[in-house]
Amino acid sequence: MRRSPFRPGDGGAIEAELPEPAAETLEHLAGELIEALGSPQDPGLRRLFPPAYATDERAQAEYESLTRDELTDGKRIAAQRVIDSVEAGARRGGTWRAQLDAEASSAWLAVLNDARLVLGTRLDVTDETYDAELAEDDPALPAHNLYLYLGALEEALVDALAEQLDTDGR
Amino acid sequence: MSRGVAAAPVEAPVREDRPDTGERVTPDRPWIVIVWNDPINLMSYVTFVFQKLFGYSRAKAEKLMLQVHHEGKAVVSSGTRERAEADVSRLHAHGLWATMEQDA
Repeated sequence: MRRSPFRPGDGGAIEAELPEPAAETLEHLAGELIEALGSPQDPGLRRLFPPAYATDERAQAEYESLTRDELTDGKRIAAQRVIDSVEAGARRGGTWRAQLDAEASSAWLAVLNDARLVLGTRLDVTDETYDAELAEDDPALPAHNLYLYLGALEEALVDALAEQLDTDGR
Repeated sequence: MSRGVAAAPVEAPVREDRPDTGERVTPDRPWIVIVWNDPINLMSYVTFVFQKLFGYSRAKAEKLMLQVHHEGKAVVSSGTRERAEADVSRLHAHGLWATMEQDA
């Protein structure tokens, strides 16, 4: 049985261990996220900035002007942290390893989730299509498989972080 | 929400049709923060975010998550308008579909 790619480590750190290509994919996705954040009209970003006020347009416009830049900056910083931590990790025998401190593991979680939100929005994922088996020649298959893989990675990271949270007695 | 490895069918997020409340804000009624179900966020992730942001126990966070999952939405916090707006933006920073409204 394979070990989980993320495990609680010492001092609140998370031990990360991924196949090198997977770590590179994450680095690439973080780069794409930074790029997409630079084009606010990108429809894939819609789900990253949901409305706070469902019916009150004026209040919503105000909320957006107050929060959008800060939310965008937070996502950009997280993406950059993921890129930096992939670069800083050790590579041996096709495996990438790193110790993620609390800031880095939060950044990984944020980027995994944001990447899935963008990808899921582009794929128009619904509860029905999430599990659907796509035909081998379906052009959406690679993106769909990536979406599922990111979900599995995120699940593993959430498990490790939740275990840590419980251990901390919170 | 997505169950993760084995996803279950759940409802797509819906919005309530409510009249524009912007002009009739009464200060003594608290504002509530609502999290809506969506097909992308993982159930375990939503539980973790509730624990982390609000300091809820795992049991309480899980109960709220399941309410979102089964009923389509749940009220996760309430308070002044400023407090609710801060909670909504923290939930948005974590990718959750949150809105706020003044309690009926």
